[in-house]
Amino acid sequence: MYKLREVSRGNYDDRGYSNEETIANLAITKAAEINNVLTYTYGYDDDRFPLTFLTEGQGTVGTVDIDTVQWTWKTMGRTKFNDYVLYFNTANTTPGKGGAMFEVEFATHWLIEQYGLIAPDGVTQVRIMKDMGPGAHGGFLYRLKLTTPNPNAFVDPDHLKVGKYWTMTAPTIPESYSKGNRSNVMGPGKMTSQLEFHRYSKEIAGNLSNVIVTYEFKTKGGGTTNLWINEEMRQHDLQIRVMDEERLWFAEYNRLEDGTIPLIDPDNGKPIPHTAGMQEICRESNYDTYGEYLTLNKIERTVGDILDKSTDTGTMEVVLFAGKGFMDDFDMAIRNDARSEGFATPLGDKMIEDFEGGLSYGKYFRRYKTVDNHIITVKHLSFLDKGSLADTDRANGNIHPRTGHPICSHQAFMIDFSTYEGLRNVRKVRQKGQIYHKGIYKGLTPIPPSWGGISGDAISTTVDKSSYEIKNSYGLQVNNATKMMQLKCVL
Amino acid sequence: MDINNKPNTGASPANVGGKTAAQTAAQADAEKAAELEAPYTDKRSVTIAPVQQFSAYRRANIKSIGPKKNVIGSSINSTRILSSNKTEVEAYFPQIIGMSPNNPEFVTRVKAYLSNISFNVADAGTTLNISFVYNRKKDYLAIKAKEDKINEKREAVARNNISAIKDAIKVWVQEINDLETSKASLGRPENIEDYLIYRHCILYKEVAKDIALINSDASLRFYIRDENKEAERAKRLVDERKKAMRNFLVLEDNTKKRNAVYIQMIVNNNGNIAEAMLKSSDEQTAALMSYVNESPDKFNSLFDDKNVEMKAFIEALIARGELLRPEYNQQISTADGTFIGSNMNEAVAYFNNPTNKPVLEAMQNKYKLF
Repeated sequence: MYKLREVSRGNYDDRGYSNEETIANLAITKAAEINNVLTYTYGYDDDRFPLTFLTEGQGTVGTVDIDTVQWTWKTMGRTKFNDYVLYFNTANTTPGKGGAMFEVEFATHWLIEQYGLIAPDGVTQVRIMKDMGPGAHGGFLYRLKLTTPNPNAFVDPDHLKVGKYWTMTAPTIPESYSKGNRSNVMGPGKMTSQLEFHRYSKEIAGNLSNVIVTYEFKTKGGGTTNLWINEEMRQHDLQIRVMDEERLWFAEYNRLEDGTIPLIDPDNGKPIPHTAGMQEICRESNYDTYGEYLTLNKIERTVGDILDKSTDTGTMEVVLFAGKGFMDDFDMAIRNDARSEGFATPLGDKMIEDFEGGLSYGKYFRRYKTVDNHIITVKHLSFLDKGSLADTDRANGNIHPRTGHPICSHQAFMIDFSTYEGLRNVRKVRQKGQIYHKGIYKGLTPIPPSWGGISGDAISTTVDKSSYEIKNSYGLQVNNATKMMQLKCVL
Repeated sequence: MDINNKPNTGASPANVGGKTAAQTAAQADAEKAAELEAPYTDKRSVTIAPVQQFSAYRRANIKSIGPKKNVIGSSINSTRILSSNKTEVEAYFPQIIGMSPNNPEFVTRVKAYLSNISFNVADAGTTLNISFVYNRKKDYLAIKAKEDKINEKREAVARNNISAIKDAIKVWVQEINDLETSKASLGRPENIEDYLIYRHCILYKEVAKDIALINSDASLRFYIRDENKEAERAKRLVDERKKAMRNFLVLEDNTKKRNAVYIQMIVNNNGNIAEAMLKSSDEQTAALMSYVNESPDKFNSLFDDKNVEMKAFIEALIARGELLRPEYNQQISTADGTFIGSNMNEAVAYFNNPTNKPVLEAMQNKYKLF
């Protein structure tokens, strides 16, 4: 695998085009130099593209190509058995006392006459005596009666506070002459998202394609080259890949309900669509934060809550894609728990080992098994430590006070990469014919071989320059986001 | 022997009920002192509500996407600050974590409790009982006075200046947290868990302490609604409206002042004075009535301004071009360049100065011609 290295620290050229001056500006054409090989001070750049790798990198199973900008997919939610209180007249402080009926407005029309209801305490039970139709507060009014024969009993008004959920139970009827009721059915829902388009240009001028420098650069084929344009194009490719990957994570959907997009390109008056990125999709499902220490209890509660939402049976293997900071927190959470359980000695035995006549210290928890046998595994997402967001956090001083990692490193995304009914849950969406479009605007400036061959002397500009244009389409499709989550440490 | 001495019948106003005035006053003082020394419960509640700003993605998929769970998690600052005061930690946490402060694990467990916070907020908001039982009422009064002062400072900030509001909130969070911390030795919260969540929300970055900040910070997911303060604010608004209505009726009998208040209202709303003065009397009255309803406090302050007529006169002169005020400068001068004042207050002082009476009269004569 080809890896990116830093060419030179501190010299950047942002004029947007390149010629001989660029090279001089970058200070790499000077004559005297001790070494003719570059020191890659920041090491190779790799593992920066996990989402691209896990979607497009998996071939056709990880992608879906469509004709239009928008796409839809059908979903089916979990069967619902409850509803919440929208209004109750608090003047009635003993609802249901002495067998009296009382009226409560619930949020929707999901509850059915003749059915029973259980209060939030899990004990108090009532029967829906009458469906009174639409209520005065935007919900539906129901007349209820306590089922207990105790004439002194009444419903605790706390259970009738706005937002309290009640559970529906089976309908009970007399032995004879009962009338029928109705049933609820849940239809499939339809969800939508859209593509976004990226455009990158590389302009060169003069004889840049043939400029030789004193440094050797590695080529994709594993050899070396002294041609500067090869290195410049490698950097350009890498920047494109980094930015495209980050869009898959951080893009925010921007089409309004009426179909319009308020973000308009001032050059041509056309709308600029943005897709929904992984962060937005995760946050719309489940989002929680933690403080200085992550605890096992927090992991169990957040992950457990999400797994409990699903009616799928059997054990599940959940992967938390995390930055190094979160991995430290995860390890410490389990170690603290193990210590509090008195497992200090066995833990020490695992942590301290013999090594080449000396000792080695350090082994870390990366896996946890819940009480119901679900397995939570942590996988490193180096993007959260080395990506541009991490660099920005460092530059702005958003550092975790205990570990010194950028704060964005202390977060994890729980992503469901499973395959359901033969379809991968997470796929990259592209527009047919616009998956990756390349074009060359040729002037007198020679075209480097890496741009692809262009025959003939015809030129399209009188200016001594040429440019390399790229356009691609990106979208992220997540069929089922219910088991997705973002868990983040906040300052 | 003084024959004028009369037996104590209790009929004298200075000798009511067989007690002297001094005794009555002393008894009242004693009762007051006893009341100040008696326990007192400050009944309060706040509501934490989610900011109902759905993303475009949720809006586009609102019918199919599952309901969002609104969770307030933990944060580094809050964990550190809430576990840093020994008196407070030892007063509140033993009941919650079921451990004595003498236990060596106590601090670890406190930090774990704070790190584990996962507070589910209902869509309609969740109300927290933050009532505090003071051992002595006088402590409540002292704390209340300090709190009022802190709140006054925060509310004095201009509502249209977001960065000033942010700075004020930063100071407010610090001061209110210090004040709440100091309460630990004066009593106990009625509901410790609710109270600690409230304290956490004050320190938690994703809870807006002022709704004016919601649109300027995408990370704000919740806001605090102080029921007591809202009620106070609503009462203040009603009182201001009542006063404004009375003032409005007074204005109806004083055409000169009414016109002046009208002009100043236009100035406050950044309106065009020349156009506004062309409106019929009924239209002007209707505009003033709306102002009374919408901004009674501003209307009252115009009404109470002793110089409102002079200010309106100067504004009218500026509108007519007799006086000049550059767009980006408050300086006022005549059309021929005579300096009147560097701002409106100085211009008022200039025209109120008897030395400048000839200039004032000249301007008044011009004004009559408008």
